[in-house]
Amino acid sequence: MYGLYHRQYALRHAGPGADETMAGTHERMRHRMTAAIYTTVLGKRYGRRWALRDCSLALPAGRVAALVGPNGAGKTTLLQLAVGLTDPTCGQIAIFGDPPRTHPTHVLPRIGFVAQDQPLYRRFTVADMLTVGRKLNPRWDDGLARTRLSRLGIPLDRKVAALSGGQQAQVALVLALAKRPDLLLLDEPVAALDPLARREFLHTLTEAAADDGRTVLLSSHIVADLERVCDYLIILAAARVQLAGDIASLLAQHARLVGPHRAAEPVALDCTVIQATHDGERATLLVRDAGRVLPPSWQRYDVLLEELVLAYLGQQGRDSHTPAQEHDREVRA
Amino acid sequence: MIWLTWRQQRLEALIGGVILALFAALVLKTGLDLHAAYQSTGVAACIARQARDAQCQAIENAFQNSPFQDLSNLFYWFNFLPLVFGALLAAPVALELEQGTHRLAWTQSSTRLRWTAVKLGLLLVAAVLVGLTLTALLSWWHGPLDQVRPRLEAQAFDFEGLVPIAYTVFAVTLGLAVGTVLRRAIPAMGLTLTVFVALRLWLEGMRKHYVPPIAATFPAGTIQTHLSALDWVVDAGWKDHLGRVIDDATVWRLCTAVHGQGLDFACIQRQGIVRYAVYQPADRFWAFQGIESAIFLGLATSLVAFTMWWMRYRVT
Repeated sequence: MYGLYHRQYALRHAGPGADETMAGTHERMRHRMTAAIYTTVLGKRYGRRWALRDCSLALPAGRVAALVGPNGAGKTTLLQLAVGLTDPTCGQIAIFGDPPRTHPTHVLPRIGFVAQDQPLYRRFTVADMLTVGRKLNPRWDDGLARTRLSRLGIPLDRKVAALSGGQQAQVALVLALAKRPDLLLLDEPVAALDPLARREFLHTLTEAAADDGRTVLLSSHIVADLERVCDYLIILAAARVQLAGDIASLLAQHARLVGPHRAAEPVALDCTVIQATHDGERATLLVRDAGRVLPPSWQRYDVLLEELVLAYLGQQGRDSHTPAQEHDREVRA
Repeated sequence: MIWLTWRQQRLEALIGGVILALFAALVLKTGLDLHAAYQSTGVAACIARQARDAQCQAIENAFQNSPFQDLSNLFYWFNFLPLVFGALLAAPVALELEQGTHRLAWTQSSTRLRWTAVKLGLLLVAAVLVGLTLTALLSWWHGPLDQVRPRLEAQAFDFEGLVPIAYTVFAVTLGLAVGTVLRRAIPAMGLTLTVFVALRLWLEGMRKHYVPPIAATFPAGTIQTHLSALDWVVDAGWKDHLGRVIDDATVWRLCTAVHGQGLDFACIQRQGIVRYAVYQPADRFWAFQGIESAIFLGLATSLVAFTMWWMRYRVT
């Protein structure tokens, strides 16, 4: 939140450049209203442990975003904050401009949420689950739910407890989709599924995400799955946002530089090094914003999404302010 | 929301219904016998003409010591019924939190506050209905016995009037509060049982102090003319001419009748020994019912408020 601080400072000391700052503030306001999820220095503490900290991000509407991070990185906490299951300890979160905790009646109908392990009433039949959805949601689309379930071959009269894990996940997703949500939040939806069920689930999800203007945020620690579905990436590690942005631009901004180890220093000075490894004489740097001109002995390669994610996750021990904060400002500008 | 609550708890509702039906059948069957015996033994006639003669006394004593007294003692186990129904009503909520399905319910379009309010409301209504059934059946059952023995004593008091409703409501709210905090159904049941039984036993011991009891002394052999059989005697014994409490053995040693049968009342009077009794008069029944119900319903109210608060702020 250095950005906000600087702007307030500038406003108070209106001098050269103040107009521009005002424009920036309005831009931010507009952004806040239109972003599907907008957080400012959001934090959640359980006892003495911060589950999420200094989280400032704006997820633009219409994106299919992956929330990636190791277990305990704060993914579930962020999703629970978004749907209002828990209160922030500090900072703010807004869903399409409304804070979920204080305006649940605005926010809840617009969110389809599938919690971790896809909780369903095990004693209910699938048809009973649809009745739950119909009775609790004014925007409920029963036809959509039934069509999807019959296409998946899930019988309505079957007890939930008798369904396979994959089928339960599908039912949970159908329940969320039949709300016709503007924002779909999925917490580790495929973690417990076998590869086949995982593929089928992601297929349903991709179809659903294609619906006009729908925003999707799904958390996972399996990167390969996300690449097919998502166009936006948020990396959480050690309770903080390490990186967030459009996947294509992120991949374009990063590069893998390979060259002689002894010449690594001057190359590293010219860019932000995310990860550096060396194998004897050869050094490999995963960098951001590499200079255009490289020393002759160096070569540049494109990075893969998985590589990028692993590099940022490997960073978690370091003070992680720099890349995330820098990027943060950029996302909002 | 009402449909959801019903659909979630209908198995428990069915179990509860079966238990209630078995209970009602047992109470009705034995109760009809009891009421018939009340008429046939002549107790009813004695009570009707308020006769205090020896014959009626004998009839009433016989009635009190009939097998119905044993049955009444057996019925004491019905003290656990409010707890059983409390657990049946509250357990599904603890189970919901344990299995995490509340995250499904709370992320539909209506708020968790509404969910909590509807659930608690329905469960409290159910608890009151169960309590009403318990007190209606058991008050009727105890009716004849209440004519010959103190209604303030636990074996009648615990099952009549308002307290069965208060106990049931309290048991449900306790189960809900504990279940909400622990979020585990089985440990929550255990803790609910412990707290409920401990509190009931403790208050049962405290009951005689709700209103200061009356202390009185009478000349020996006249206690029956001063106290009704329906008054609840908390403590009774002998006092010597200095007002010190003395035990039965001392009195017998001093004043056994010449023929060795019974006490010599003239001797007792000469020694300055008197009978004393500390008692709660029978007409305090409803006052005591009001006090005990107020205690449990007051606790229940606090527990409901606590549960609402905890659901709102502490459950994720």
